[in-house]
Amino acid sequence: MSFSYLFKRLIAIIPVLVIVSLITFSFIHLIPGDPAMALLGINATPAQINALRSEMGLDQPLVLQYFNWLLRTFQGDMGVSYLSGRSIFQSVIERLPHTLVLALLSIFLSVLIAIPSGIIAAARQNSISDRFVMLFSLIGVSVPSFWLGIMLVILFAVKLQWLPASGYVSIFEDFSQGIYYLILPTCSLAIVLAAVSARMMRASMLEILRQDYIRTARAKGLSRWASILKHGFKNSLIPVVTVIGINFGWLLGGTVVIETIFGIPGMGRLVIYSIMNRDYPMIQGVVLYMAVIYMLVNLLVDILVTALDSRIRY
Amino acid sequence: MTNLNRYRFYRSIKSNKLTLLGFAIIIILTVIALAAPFIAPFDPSDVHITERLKNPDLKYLMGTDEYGRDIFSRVIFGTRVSLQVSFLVTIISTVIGTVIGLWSGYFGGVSDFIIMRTIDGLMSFPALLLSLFIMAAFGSSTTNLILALSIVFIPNSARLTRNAVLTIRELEYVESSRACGAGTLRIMFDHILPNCIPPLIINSTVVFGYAILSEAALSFLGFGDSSISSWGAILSDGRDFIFQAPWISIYPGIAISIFVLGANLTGDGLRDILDPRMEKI
Repeated sequence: MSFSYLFKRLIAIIPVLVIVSLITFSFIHLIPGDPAMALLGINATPAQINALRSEMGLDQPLVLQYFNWLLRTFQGDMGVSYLSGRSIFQSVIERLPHTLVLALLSIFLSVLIAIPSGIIAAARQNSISDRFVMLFSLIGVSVPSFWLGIMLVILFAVKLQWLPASGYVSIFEDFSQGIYYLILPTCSLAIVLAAVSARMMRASMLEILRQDYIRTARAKGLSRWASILKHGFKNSLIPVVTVIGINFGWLLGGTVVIETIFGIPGMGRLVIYSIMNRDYPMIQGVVLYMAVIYMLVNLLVDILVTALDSRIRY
Repeated sequence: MTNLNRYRFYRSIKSNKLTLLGFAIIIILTVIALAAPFIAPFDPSDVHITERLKNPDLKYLMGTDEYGRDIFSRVIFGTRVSLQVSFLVTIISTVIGTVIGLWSGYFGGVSDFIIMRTIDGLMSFPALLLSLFIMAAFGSSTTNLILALSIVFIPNSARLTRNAVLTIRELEYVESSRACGAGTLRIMFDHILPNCIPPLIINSTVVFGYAILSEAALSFLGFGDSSISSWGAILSDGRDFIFQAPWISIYPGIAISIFVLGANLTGDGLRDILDPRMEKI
């Protein structure tokens, strides 16, 4: 893959980043009423409000405010939480690993389930295993992930008492304990994601199996499974990788609810907590970071797909 | 549509039993929502304090919650919220998105660039996060929930319409129409829009399903009107009583799943009928 292609992709992101930053910045100004008053509450005196306004730079023209905010953000200074007084950047950095671990583990588990299911369903089209996979994926796509989480808790924590209902230990501190607490939250997200991915895998595999180059491989004497796995597999992964990329946004949204249910100290819970407590600067900061992460993941997926697809050469 | 086409359409719907099932689910749930006061045995906010946290039995088909409210009645009335929100979100986002997509695709140029980058920007936010963001700014009520979710789903139909417009705009019969003196609006409505409709219909079913799930998630998290018995709110109430009264958490989720299943089955079937070239996903 040529460097100029990568460069072009990075350049293409910039206008979108600008829009994302504009949307995030405008947040505090969309709140009905004065932002400073919203932060201080109704009991604030006019003097306090004015002081906060000049401190926040709200008396400057909007464009200037935006550029100041942008500059500070680039330097990593997203401001301070109006609740705790702690640096927003610091809070995000602390919580980011927990959310990422949950997200990545969910993707990993979902892929583990979806890819073999999709391949088998495609290879044995219209058989019992195919119908089973299709049924599973149809139900999986219709079920709310947070409800699935609650159901899993009822089954495994309440009735069987095999796993904890909530709680969290970081895997960086104690790996086995961490995994123990992560099983149910991960499964809640992974099952739904697997349902989507399995459908995609099956569809793309079916398409591939119809191709001439598979027939050629078989004609040359390759066994059925060898021709599927050796030649078809890499190409059938492309739509799956794309689907996972698109659904990463869904995943980030899903972690918000799952973290709330299971008490995981990640970015999702931070967002909810900030919204409940009207910590507007924090909301701005976390949402911006999550949007940027999502954009980077999509970029990564694009590059990965280009690398996988042997027909595209840049 | 000619009579033959109409006949073929109904035949193909009938032949796909799953699609029919999906459609039936949506119809039945709509009827339940409309007839809620007549179907529900109790008023959903009626408190029966002496019978709180009861197991499901013949009187309280799905048990009671911590205030003694009948869960079955609450689930029935919850159908109204889900239906209302999802229908409105689907219609609003599709209409606005289509208009934006038509404009952007047909006129092109700078406005197209700006509109598309804004759409990309909106799509760069995870859907739930964006709706939380909007509700955090404007306050949490059912109206704002509908507004927020509509904004979240506008990019889908906008992109779809724009792509369709780009394809059709250059076709010869559009050119000849223009040569005959047809104005912009006429071309849009007579030629371009009819070709956008099949993918838009399919997209609508997808948006419908996601709207139900998103509304449930947002209500579960505590946003949206807390006085209404939406399914997400019931699930949220049930969380504190997972050990003593798991039924509060079971039934609303089943309702949500059935509703979304209906939307997905209908969408799958419509995809088969309207666009058989599209890969069966």
